[in-house]
Amino acid sequence: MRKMRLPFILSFIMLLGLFSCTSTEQKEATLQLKATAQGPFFAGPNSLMAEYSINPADLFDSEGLKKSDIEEVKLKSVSIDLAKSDSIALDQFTSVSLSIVGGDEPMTALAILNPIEGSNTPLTLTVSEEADLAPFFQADKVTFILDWDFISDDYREEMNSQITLNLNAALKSN
Amino acid sequence: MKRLLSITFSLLMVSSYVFGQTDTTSTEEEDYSIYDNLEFADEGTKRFASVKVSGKSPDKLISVGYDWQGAYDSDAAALGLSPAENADITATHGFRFETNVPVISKNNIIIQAGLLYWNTIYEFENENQLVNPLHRTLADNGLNTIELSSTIYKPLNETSFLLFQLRGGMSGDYSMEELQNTKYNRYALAAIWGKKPNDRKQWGLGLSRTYRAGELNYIPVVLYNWTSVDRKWGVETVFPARGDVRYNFNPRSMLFFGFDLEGNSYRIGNQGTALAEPLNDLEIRRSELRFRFRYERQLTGFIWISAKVGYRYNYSFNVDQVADGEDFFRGFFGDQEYAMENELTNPLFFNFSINLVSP
Amino acid sequence: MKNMMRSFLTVVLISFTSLIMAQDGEADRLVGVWEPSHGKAKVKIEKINDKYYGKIVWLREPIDPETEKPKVDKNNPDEKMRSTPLRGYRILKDFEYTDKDTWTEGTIYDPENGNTYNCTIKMTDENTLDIRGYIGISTFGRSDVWKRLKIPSRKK
Repeated sequence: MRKMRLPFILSFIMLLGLFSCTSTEQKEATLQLKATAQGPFFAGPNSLMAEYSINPADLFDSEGLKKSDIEEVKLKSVSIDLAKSDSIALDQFTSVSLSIVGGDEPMTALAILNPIEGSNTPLTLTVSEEADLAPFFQADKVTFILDWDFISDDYREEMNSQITLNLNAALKSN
Repeated sequence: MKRLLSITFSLLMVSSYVFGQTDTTSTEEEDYSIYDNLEFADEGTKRFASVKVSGKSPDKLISVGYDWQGAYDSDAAALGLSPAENADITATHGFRFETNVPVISKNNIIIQAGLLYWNTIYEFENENQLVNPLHRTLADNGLNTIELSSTIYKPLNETSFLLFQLRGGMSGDYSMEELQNTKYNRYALAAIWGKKPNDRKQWGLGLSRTYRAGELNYIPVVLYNWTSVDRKWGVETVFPARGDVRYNFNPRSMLFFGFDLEGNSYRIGNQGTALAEPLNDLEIRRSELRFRFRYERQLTGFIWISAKVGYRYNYSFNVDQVADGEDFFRGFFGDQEYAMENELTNPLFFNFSINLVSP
Repeated sequence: MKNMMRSFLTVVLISFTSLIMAQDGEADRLVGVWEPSHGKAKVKIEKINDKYYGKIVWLREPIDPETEKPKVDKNNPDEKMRSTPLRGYRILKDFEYTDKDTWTEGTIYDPENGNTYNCTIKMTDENTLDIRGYIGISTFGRSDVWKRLKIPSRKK
């Protein structure tokens, strides 16, 4: 039994040593994306897509930051705005939701607003408590999927939406 | 060569264009009303009543548990030359293992296979002073049950179904090293015809051959599973085996109040207990009615825990002589005499199990 | 010689491209509208970035009798996301075509209890899917057969 314990204790001490060399830094960032899709759109959720190429140094304004330094990325807030140029109003939608997909990670729901009430923009969505974007940020690019739930009738033009994500990240700093 | 390059390039462009098209979600989204009137692509496809009832507690695929009954008195009748005896039992307890795994799972038939092992250990107050052979074998050997079972669910159409259950196995004071002769095996059978008018309700009527009352019986079975519209309340009943009123805190945590009727015919094989002929073909007709609270909740993922606390009422602990394992049916009107008519007082009990549940 | 080389390469390229496209077509047979055996919903499977996703497009009971509003995902383990509408909900996610008639690596979500299961889809014939939800290893699972739906053929 004693023999078993020694390597365990040693590795524990080594782990402690490792942790004392690296520390974690909290950092906020804002990500602005344009999601787009070509009509026609019909009643029900219609997906607008926004692709985003991951560049941690850029996103977190921290030179030399690598993807592997991103430990956790939580959502602080998500807001959505319709493009001014589009001739469609908020009363055309019952709800809006945002998901992310990319790399080998499972598609993850990030935020929801249901029902949409009033006509004030931008819309502030309820964000997921559990969603962590860090695993997605290890990929080269990710796709944000914005599902607008249309009430009825077809809208035939191109549709654009502005997505603003406020992120709270835990980054490794050596 | 230049032309070759340009052909190659344009081919690549074409293929990437094709892939590019399939790579994005179709933006031709749906008008939901179009889904109202869809029909099956295969003509003649039938819908079948699903076995699932909304809000019902999940089926247990594997269950590992422990059952414990508190102190009670046992009044064993005289047997042959052995006198009647009153003994204090301090506890009855044991390990319980059950599986029930789907073997075939299709829309038009589900077949499940199961294995059960229950062990019951009897702890006596003054074990060394026991003389009654029933007490002696309980103290020395306890009781074991090993059973195999199969459940078949066969929906007939969208609302009707048949349900069959067959179980068979051996119960007795045998040890796991030396099982008893298979001629003492007992089997139970139930056949139910039922209706499922909606997702929250399922009922059925049938007949069973059962040992739940200790000795062999042929009795009607009533199946009734129901959940309220708000999914908070429900009933889960397979009468007379068990019945419950259920309260759902949420789909992952629920409280029940109800009963279980547990029973079997346990052969006394005289292991280490000298019994004179012809009294060695004895079977304990053991049956317990357990009124209890039950709480079940998800621990993590598909692992659920279940805890039961309640009152164990002894329905039968009589002993029959079953010559050569050839069982008989006494029913309500039979006048066959019991070899022993025993009385047990009624303790509190608890049961705890950890379960792998079905998706 | 140049010409021969060129036509050879063209043939190789075309056959290579059509091979990929054929495989793609095979995988895309999953796309469509399907009905689970319980008949309570219809699910539309579509393709997003090479993977397959299925969302609920029809519910037999679209209104929650308790709230008298359209059903939402009230059993979502993430409390914040419980207002997500069930109609439109992606219950099948991240399926990849791995082998002949089989799509794996995906998950299936049960809105009845908020559980997500590993899932394998096998196409037993053009209009039939064997959907197996399981826990860890597929022995401990449950299969459901989904049937393909189509727009009714016009009858005179």
